[in-house]
Amino acid sequence: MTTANKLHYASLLEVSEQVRTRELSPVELTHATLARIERLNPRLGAYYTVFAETALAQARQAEAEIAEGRWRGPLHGVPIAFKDLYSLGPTTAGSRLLADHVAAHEAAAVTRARAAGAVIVGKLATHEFAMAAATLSDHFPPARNPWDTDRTPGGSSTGAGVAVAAGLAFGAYGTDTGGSVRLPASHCAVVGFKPTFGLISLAGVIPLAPTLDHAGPLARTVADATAMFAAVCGHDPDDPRSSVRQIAVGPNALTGEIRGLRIGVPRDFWEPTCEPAIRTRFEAALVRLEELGARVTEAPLGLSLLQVLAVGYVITLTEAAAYQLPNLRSRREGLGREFGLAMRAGLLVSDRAYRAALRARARIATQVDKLLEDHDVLAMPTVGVLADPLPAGPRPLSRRITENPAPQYTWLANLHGGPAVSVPCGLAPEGLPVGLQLMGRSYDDATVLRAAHTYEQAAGWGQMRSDFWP
Amino acid sequence: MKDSTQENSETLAARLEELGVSIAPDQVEELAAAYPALLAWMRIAEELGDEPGQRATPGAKT
Repeated sequence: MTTANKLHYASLLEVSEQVRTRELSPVELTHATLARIERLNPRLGAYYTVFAETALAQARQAEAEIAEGRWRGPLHGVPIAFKDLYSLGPTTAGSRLLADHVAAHEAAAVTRARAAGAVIVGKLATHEFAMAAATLSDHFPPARNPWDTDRTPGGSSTGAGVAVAAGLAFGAYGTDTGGSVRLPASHCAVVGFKPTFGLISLAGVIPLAPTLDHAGPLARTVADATAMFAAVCGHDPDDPRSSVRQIAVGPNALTGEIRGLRIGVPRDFWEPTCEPAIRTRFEAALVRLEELGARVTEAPLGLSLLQVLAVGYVITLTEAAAYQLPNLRSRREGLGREFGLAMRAGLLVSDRAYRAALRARARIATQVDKLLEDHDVLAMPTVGVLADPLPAGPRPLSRRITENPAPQYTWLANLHGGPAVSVPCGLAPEGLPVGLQLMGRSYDDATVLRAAHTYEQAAGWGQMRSDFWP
Repeated sequence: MKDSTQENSETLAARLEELGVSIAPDQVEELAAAYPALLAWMRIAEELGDEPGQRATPGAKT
């Protein structure tokens, strides 16, 4: 393990400040980032597409504007990237079906990041349509975990986790239907933030399950993630899910103070399925939070992981299959085996089960809301297992649809709709990262980010980087 | 004589065909192998989503 003391591992806000004060040229920064991508991407597979020429043009424009005193904000002149689910130029969703697809319009979040002056260096790897795990035999080679390249970086925002962890971008935007921002963040030792549902527009983002999909940033620090969120959030009439209730979360929210914060731990939900090495790191994180002045207490949820996952998967499979039905009917070649089978399974979900799952989702959200009456945030590991080895070929459907699904504790926040963040909380003895997840009340994103930032600053795990990519 | 797995596979393939979606023979067996777990998920969702007094009968066909 190494710590971050090189420019490519600097935080977005650190380089942003140097760009603002003209100590650092956006053009030189972009050249350096592109050179690092060219050198490391063949081994890490983070990027599908690199926009070298347009990125340099954006960097030159940023440099000129800043020289004229027209600094637009923290993203101005800083290289970032988007998951290949956001419409922007070649947009494949990680599927051979869309291998030649070029988006006619760009996603709203891309437009907002561009308006904030970001230098967009490329499009990042994803599990197929944000769902089916990438394998070594796919049309697109899988992104590889910077901590162990024979393992998955977590998904579905695979490339986003890798790019931020390996110094190939200063931040990335992913999507999160059941944990796809927070899972790669946990497995790659970066920060992943899923805001309250509806705060970032999904217009122009290829959907998986429209009632559960969220957009969110992956970053090196909580402050970076906060800045990236602030740059693109806001109501969008082009997205019917976009909330008219908007919030402002800026750097001032990250006070570094959590004395008296009430943290609930729903052990009945996650502990029975959690690996001991992860539980050990999580318990140490709770001790640290208590030392910082938080009051940590038990908070039984009254729901099992299997109940939550079953509801999440029934909704996701049904909605994804409905969206993909024209592709399935057309019998066009291109959908991967695992994804195609999962979609066929989605077509077999009864209407009654789907409607019941929507009601169950409301009930789950109510249970979480009850806990959040007496607690400011809920804490749990992000995921109860370490990163899996990359599969050689498509996994059998019974690995995905099973009564013992992978212990992803992230789904709870997607069904609830409130904010959730994953921050690094240490390494397991195998040398693989572990993530701490904090969840909060809807629209109280500021409290979740403040708690995560305070822990991050005290614990220092956010500074760790894999030795393999100095 | 067909065994229950084969019959299940044929039923699932027929249900997909009704929706205009085909499936290869080797894939329908894989789908059939996962189907009991999918049914279990649906049952869990129904039990959790049903109003008190309107719970699905355990094992009811969905």
